[in-house]
Amino acid sequence: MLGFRRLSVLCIAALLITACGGGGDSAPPSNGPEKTEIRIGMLPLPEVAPIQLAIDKGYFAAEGLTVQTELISGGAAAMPDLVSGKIDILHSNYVSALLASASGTVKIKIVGDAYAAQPGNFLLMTKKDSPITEIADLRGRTIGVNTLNNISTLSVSALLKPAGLRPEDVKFVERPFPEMAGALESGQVDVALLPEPFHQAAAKTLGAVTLSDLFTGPLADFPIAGYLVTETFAQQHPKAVAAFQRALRKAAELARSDSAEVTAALQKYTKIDQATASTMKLGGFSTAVDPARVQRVADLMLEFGYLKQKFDVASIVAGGASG
Amino acid sequence: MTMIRHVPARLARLWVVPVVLLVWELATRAMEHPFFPPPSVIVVHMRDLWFTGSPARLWLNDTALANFPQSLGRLLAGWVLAGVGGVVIGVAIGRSPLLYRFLDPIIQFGRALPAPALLPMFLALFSTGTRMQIATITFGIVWPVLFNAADGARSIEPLHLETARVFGLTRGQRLLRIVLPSAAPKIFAGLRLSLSLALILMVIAEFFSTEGIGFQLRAAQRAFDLPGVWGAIVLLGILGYVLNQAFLLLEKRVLTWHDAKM
Amino acid sequence: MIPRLFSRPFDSALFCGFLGVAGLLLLAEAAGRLGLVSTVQFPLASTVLVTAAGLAADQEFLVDVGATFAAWALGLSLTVAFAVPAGLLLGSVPAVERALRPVIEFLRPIPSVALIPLAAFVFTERLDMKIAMIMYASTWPILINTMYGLREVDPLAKETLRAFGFGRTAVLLRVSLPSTAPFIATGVRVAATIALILAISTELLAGGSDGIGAFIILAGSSPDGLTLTVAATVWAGLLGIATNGAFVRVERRLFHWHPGTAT
Repeated sequence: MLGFRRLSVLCIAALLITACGGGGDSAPPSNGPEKTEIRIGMLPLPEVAPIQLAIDKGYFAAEGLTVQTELISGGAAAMPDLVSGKIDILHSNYVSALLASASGTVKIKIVGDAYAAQPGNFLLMTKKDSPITEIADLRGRTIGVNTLNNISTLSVSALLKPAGLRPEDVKFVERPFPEMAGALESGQVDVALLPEPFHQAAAKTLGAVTLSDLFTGPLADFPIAGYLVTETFAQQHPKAVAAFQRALRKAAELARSDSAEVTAALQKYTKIDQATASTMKLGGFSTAVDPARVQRVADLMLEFGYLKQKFDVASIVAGGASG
Repeated sequence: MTMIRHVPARLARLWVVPVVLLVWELATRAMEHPFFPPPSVIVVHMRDLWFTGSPARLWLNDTALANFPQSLGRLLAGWVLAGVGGVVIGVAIGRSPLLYRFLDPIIQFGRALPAPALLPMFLALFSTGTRMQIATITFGIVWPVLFNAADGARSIEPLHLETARVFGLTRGQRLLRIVLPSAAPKIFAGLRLSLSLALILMVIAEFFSTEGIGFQLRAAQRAFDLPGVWGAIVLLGILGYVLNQAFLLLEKRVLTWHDAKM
Repeated sequence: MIPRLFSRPFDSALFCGFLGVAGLLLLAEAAGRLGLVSTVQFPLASTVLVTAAGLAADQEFLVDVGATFAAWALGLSLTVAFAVPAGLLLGSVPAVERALRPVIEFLRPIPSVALIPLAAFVFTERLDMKIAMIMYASTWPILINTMYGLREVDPLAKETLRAFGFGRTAVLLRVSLPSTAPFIATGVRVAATIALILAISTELLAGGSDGIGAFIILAGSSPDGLTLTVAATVWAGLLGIATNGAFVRVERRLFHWHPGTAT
């Protein structure tokens, strides 16, 4: 009985405090996030290093957020988890995000940008003595990508275009990155699309050679992935979203300026060892969503038939994400 | 003959199907959720995807003909291989305690391995393509047959075998007349389980290929084409049902033949 | 057949099993060393064993194994609690079986991998989802073995009991259930493996913060991911052996009178 009464007194007190603070935006209690426990679903990829940094450096804690990370098997595969609320924020590549949004299956908002490709981050590689030496040689060849209908197939399609090739002129096969070197060696794929640190490893163990950088020319500085929430979550938790954005921005700035910090963070949430991590270039960590830049993804998707009609990216970028 | 006479009765037994469909339709219409399209939408989508062909081809269109026969072929090949292999190894370890002791840990180990995790091994051994897919299917579904065959072969009445020995039946004759018939019910239970497992393994093996029902499912998932995903699921269900009915007919034939002989 | 000298060691399941496993490992190692299987495509047996041994000391991995095992145990218990009564009902009341057969035969072959994305939407907790997937896939062997087992019950024994005036339930409990039990046990053993595979596959496809499947996702971040994945798979296999051994032991205790009991 006593416990209950004490609890209700506490509740009333809490209500009063929040009610009082509700008036002025500058009052600290009201600025606290509506939800303090945030679950982020992410792939163990280098591009989410800022999340680990924000946890380790206490940037999230400083914003009143307790962040828990969960592994996902892919942006598309984890979309149901976002909808059902198993995770609050989802790290996803933009192609899956826009596909999901355009299909009407989920209503999402982009709250943060993760990464924009830099030279040397993603390479198309062939075997040592492969007859394929330029993009035009790819006609009728098999290209290994980690996911079909994704940023990999889209960007390869865009890369083929100047050489006069259509996506139908090549064959895409799905293979996980760690198995790609083996597939390349045995000839199951003629060309493999490999990100860091897999292309370094393939060059070392197999002597694989670079056919082309994937994100060059018109694809330079191409946005890869971002952080998503559901539209409902964005509406109901604007302060939590803003707090997340502030912490992420701070962490991304740190990641851009200090690669040693990134290397250390990678040790914590990936299985990339220290030696390999230090050979990685990275550097494309992004501090804000640039709607115009993400629009390039949507326009390419329209051009290659991933989307049926023009999609306005700005409509799903959450307030504060681009600032 | 009897089958034809019982057709109305057989159809009457299917009364649950329309009830389930109706409930499903009403529930999904009430929910209006993009992840759960009503069955009517799924059926229309399935027709557009696969069944726009001419009646001469069973209404199957080019997409269906480019995917279904390959998938089914692999499934049946894997099932037959698993059936033969499972019965041979199963009966062998069921009758030979020594062999059982040698192979038991390996078998227990092998069957506890998730097929998706084994794909890289099969890819390394067989490269991509039909052989690797059949190997994956066979490996994934051999266990129920193998274990049921072993249990069946082990649980033979010792008296029967003794009698056979007294009557001077050779080893081969004993195997054919005593061991296999009395293990048959268990073997068939295993084969039936394997058949629906084969459909599942077929889908997993086709995830990494460029055609087949499994590939179509994966592509629909990737494109957030929910009616397409459901269409593939329904197709797999129907296929499984048809395969199982065919199997039950076969089983009835074989088992009654055995019963009559005994 | 076997020379007398060797008959003793070959009587030992442990000794024979060890020889069998060692032989297989040597074969795999030789295939890698001789270049039959490229080591880039699939790691050497020795590399896998060393990595697997290293995982045993990895605190995080042990937590993952624990999480998978917990989901497996919970899922399997619930499956047995559901599937055995369901199998008894379907096996002893033909009308129910006939009515439900089309639905069952339609559901059974639907791969759980196809259902995981849909289940991910329905369930708000990952453990619930894992358990639901486990139950979905591992119900069938128990259900079907129970039904097959009931069909094999000696009709004479049933008739005799009925003649003595026992009711339907009494016959079920005194004759049908005991003589079906070995069939059920085989079904549970098959289901146990399927449950383990499902636990790992669900983690692998649906993610989460722990579990062997989540470890495999994590391994995918590294160029050595294939070796780590295979090593984790080895542990899954060992978990399978251990649980199967436990089931066989229990079966032997319970059904020592039944000739089909695993030896």
